[in-house]
Amino acid sequence: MLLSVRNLTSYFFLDEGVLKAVDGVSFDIQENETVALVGESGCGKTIVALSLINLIPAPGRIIAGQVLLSGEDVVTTPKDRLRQIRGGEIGFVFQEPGSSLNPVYTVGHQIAEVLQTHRGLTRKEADKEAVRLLGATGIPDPEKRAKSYPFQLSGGMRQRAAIAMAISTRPKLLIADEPTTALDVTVQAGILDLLEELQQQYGMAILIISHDLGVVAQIAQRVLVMYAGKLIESAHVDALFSSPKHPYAQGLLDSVRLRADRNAPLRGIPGSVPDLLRLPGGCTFHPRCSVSDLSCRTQFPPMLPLAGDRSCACYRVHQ
Amino acid sequence: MGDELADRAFIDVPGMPVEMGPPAQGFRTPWSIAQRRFVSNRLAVAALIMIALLSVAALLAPILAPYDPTAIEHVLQTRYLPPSWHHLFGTDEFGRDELSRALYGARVSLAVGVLAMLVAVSVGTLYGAVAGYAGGWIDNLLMRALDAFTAFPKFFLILLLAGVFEADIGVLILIMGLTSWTDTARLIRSEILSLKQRQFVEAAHAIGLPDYLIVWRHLIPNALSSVLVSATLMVGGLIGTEAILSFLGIGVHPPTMTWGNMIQAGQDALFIAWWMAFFPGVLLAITVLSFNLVSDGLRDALDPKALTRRYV
Repeated sequence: MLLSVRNLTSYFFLDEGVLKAVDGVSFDIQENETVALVGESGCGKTIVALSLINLIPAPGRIIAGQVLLSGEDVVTTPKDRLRQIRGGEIGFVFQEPGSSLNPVYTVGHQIAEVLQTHRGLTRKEADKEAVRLLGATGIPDPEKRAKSYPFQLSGGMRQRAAIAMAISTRPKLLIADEPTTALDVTVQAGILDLLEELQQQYGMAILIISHDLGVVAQIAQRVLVMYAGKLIESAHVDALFSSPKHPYAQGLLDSVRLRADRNAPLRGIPGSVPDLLRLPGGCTFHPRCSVSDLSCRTQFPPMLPLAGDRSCACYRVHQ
Repeated sequence: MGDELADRAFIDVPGMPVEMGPPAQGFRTPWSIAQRRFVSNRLAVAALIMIALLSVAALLAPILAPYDPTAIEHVLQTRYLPPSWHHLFGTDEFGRDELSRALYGARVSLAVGVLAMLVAVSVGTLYGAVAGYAGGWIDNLLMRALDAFTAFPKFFLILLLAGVFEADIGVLILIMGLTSWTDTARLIRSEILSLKQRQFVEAAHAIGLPDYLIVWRHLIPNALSSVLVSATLMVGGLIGTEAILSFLGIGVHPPTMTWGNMIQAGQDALFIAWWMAFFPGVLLAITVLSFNLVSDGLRDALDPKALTRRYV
């Protein structure tokens, strides 16, 4: 087991109240596995990702739970060790490749910085390795690109550069937070291909965070569905897409045209994502759910296993 | 022409080789854009040339000065000589050549201004960066301390300190620097407060960089352009301050000459030898004005919101 997240709970303490961004999330990631975390905007996906490297911005805080990376708890590990994990064992790719690169340094310099920090290379070695890595991510003429500033590159190239930076230390886990959302559709596919290729080449696990089910279908082996700070379904990608169990997952899939029946009408999920400060009691999805009954209003349903190595948090599914 | 090249987007199509970008020389770095804008501002360029000339003249004072600035001979025959071909700026009350004195004085005046600025900018940058990056109660504490410090009228503080410490030049530079860092600190803090929200800082955390490196390598360099503007302005102000202090007799003391104490000497003889105060006064005014103009030019050139087209 590479990563084992247990009861991860990250709250934001705001003036308006306590925002339960991540509330008791548990999941595992195996070596070399690609797991997708999906959900609507604002459901806590990114906070899960940041919690994995213990990097939640104030006033947020991990208040409970464990993030075990090869058995080592990232939540309680000392800061020095944490810095080794960040960028060393866990690489991170951000959503906006433009803004995750520092505008005043060349791309090559920034990759070299990571290599100097984590692999102890000299400046010269690091510069050379940076060029090699840029080449490995499919950037043409990497020597020239290494000397380019971020704004001189296209969005796709920037994301390739950001990926080069994230994989430069051969991480065991690569977290990609909406890596293709800011990119054109044609460029998206190229980036996803690149991630898969690098995964095979370097042997790393990938946690990809996305609200785009098309992206998920293309790259993931297993999918975690999140709603309002909680996991509500976990299943193999084919199983989820062919037969989603949780009513929310069903609604999510019904709202995009991925399934075989191209003529089926697109349906949205009624209502909108609840305010995380004022969550409904019981199952947080019950006000929007077409099959909810009284039992759904009492307590949040536990994630219980189903046949076929999947689990789901819904009273009606388990009845 | 260059714009079209720079604007052309790259296309990467999966499974196909990514299109080659335009040649690197078609690109403009932020620095080269700023350079272009600055150069197109004639007044700022003229001011920069003026500063350069003054600096070179100051450096080469021993070569350029026609006379020994401290030699006193035949005082009665040589004193209070008006400007002439022999003495372009005239002579002072001891018959010393004012041009030579002004050249040597430029060394001290410029050096004091620049060095005091460096002290102020270093202290201010460090202070502001720590406050802005740490945030929370540390920020609050540091900024309230800064407020308390700025509550003292700065000039009286300098007067007091210069009086107490029997200032030699080094001490004077420290006093001036250590009373001028507050604006830089505020500026840097506010820049860092906004910069630290940017994603590249989060990314720097995510690659495991320690805090001091994030501040040093990622935050301060991004804040430097605005510091450059205020630092240039500050040099002009500090040169003026030094002149005032020397004029008041608590800055740089004779026999070390500065424009300030030359003006002070000239004040006593204003009605019989106007040139004694006039030439150092003009040099001082030109210098301060030049630094102000260069600062203005830099501000316009480095402003990312300014329209590029206006300048190119």
